[in-house]
Amino acid sequence: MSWPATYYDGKTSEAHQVSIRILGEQLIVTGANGSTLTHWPAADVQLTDKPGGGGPPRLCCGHGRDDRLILADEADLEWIEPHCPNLHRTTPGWNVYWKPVVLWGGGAVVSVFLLVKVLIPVLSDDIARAIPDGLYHRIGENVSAQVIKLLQLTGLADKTNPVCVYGAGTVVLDSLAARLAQGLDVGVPVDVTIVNSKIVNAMALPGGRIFVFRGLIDFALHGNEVAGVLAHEIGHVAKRHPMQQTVKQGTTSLLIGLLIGDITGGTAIAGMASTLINTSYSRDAEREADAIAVELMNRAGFSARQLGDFFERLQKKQGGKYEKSMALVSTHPLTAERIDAVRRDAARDAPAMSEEDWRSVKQLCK
Amino acid sequence: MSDTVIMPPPASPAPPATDPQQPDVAFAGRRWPLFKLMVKNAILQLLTLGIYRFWAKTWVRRYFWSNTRIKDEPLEYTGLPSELLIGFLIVLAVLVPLGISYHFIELAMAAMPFAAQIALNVFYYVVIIALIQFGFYRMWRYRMSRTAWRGIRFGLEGSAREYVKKSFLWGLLTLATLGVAMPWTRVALMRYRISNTRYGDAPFDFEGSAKALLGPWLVFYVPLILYFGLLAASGLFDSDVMSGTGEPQINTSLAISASLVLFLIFPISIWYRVREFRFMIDSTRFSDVSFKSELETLSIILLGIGTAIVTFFVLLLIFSLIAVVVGIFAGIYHGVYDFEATLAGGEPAAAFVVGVLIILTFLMVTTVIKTVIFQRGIVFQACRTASISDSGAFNRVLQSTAAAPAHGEGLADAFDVGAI
Repeated sequence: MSWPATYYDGKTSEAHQVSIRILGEQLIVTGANGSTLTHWPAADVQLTDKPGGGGPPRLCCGHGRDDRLILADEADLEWIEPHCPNLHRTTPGWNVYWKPVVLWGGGAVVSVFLLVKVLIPVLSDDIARAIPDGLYHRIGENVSAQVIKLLQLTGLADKTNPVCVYGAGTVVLDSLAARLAQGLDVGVPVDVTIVNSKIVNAMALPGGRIFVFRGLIDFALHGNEVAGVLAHEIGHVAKRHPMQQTVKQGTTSLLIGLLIGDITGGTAIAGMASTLINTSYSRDAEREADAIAVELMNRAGFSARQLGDFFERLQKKQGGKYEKSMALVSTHPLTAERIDAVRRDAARDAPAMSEEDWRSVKQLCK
Repeated sequence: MSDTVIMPPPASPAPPATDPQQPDVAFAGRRWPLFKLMVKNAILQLLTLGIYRFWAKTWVRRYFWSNTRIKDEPLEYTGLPSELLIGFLIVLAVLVPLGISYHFIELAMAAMPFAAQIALNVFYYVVIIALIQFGFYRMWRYRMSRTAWRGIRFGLEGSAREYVKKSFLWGLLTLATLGVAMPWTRVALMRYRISNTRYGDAPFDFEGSAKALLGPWLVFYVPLILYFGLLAASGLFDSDVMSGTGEPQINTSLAISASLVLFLIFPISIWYRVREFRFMIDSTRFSDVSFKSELETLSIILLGIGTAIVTFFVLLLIFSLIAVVVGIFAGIYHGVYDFEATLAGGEPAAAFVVGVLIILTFLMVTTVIKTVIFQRGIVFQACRTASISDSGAFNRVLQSTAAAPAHGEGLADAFDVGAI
């Protein structure tokens, strides 16, 4: 009337030879002496070793119980299957564990939110300002070497000549940057590097390094446009915006690394790379840098109006098929308000460089 | 449903009596199901940005546990993915703010005096090592509590704090003795762990002396002494070379063989690990039951070489396939698409995406091959070479009433320790 099986009762490690049968909604386990050892609700009967396993089928009753039934033969599953709807379930339903998941999940979300929105921005600002000038400069040297390697690896800059070091244009831009920064408390020497890349971009790195991409020089129609962009990046350097950004990214990628877990290696590197290149400053940071740019241009006697023209031309290109190459737009959010402010405050008229100097700048990397 | 008794099939055979020829311990898991499982896990982990890892780990453990048969009865892994997930969330809510605070302190550290920087660095590493050891112990406790055999659960008593304290004190002693005390350190931690392990309500014991490991451990010093000896013989340490004065007279072939000697460390470390593993198994007791392992170093070295060769050829195959596909697509792209747009910067973005995909493919392929060939191979060899002295002690064990941890491994997960 029944099937043979081995039963471990979950109280001792002894094996019991039993017979099992299904009566109504119950699976009944009967010992060798004929006494009923236990009865399991058929709906709770599950296979224990899914996936994997091998050997005769092993059954358990729900998740909390320790007793186990080992069928004599795989074929015995055939008659159990129709009576046990949850036989092939691998885990208990959500109703068992939703509470701690919601509780700790909520705690984790709140903690991550507070970190990203409150603690990291506030602290990164303070720390960026607290770093002494000498160290700031050294950090900058490290970061710029890394960024150049990264640009080379990702193909964003020329593989063999990632930076342009020759030509009269480099001297022109260096002395222009030095003149613009004169009298401003930057704390570190400003150093201009021309990156051999088609992308229209310029960026300030921690430690006073300014990267100007060849694509930006190609895109510029007037020497004062390039000068204005230089002054703008000097503004970022003076306000230590790049350092703030570096601190923010370091902590954020630490957080992401923990969240993603095992497969981090690759994704974290990728994330770092993309954020380093496509970092977007806040609107306030941009306004600050603009204000300093116009002030520096005015002080040097140069016309800053061309910077407004440059921004306007860039803005028109936004959303077009050149969007991807317009990295400057995505890293430095542009608004009509910014363009108006630059034009309004521009007070002087002189060109920032002679026709001859401008030609030599245009010839860079060629 | 009516209360009818279901009719049995005719003539079911009685369960076979335990075969005396059955090995004490055997691993019955095949590579193909594990391979399929690992590939599925890798893909789902990628699609869920890693959150699937708690499910992946659980299914892999079920595979390894349920295929390990002791006295013809498999182990059972009763842990749930949700328990690992909750352990992870707790760490996220508590540990992450601590980690990030340290990151800020580290940046601000540059402004501090040098001594303070050193002190802070030491403090940081002490905390990290303590957390890792703490996480290890908690991880073992969780795994033991989720391992059952014959319906009886295993367990780990003792305290993780005590374990951390022990590992620090012994670690300091090891440092002070230039590593000579290492076998005693390893044995002290082993002893604490094993004598706190129980099956049901009955404890395991550890009966072994570190003296047995001292010999194998000292073998490590042979290549080191040879290295410095050969370098000295080659004339590199001669006073005129060291001070940079005079024409250096270095025997190049001796200097090169010195660096080759260092490669000996690799097989020696595998050999030592195998010796240590065998020592641990041989020293373990359960009531009057004793255990024995005859794991061979050569089998592990061959497994390692085999895994490396397979990984190399699989990666070669996959990357050449990718290169061909990318080449074809790049051709179509250049032919059909707006060439100007490509020139203006669409290309670098594509190169970047390809770079990320290459790194991810590499990580996924190596993980799958390592688990399917190397880890499974080690488990298989360890089971094949293990034996248990015949005894009825395992038949008389009662279920323990001690509470088990409700969730697990958050710390171990955060520091990425524990292979499976």
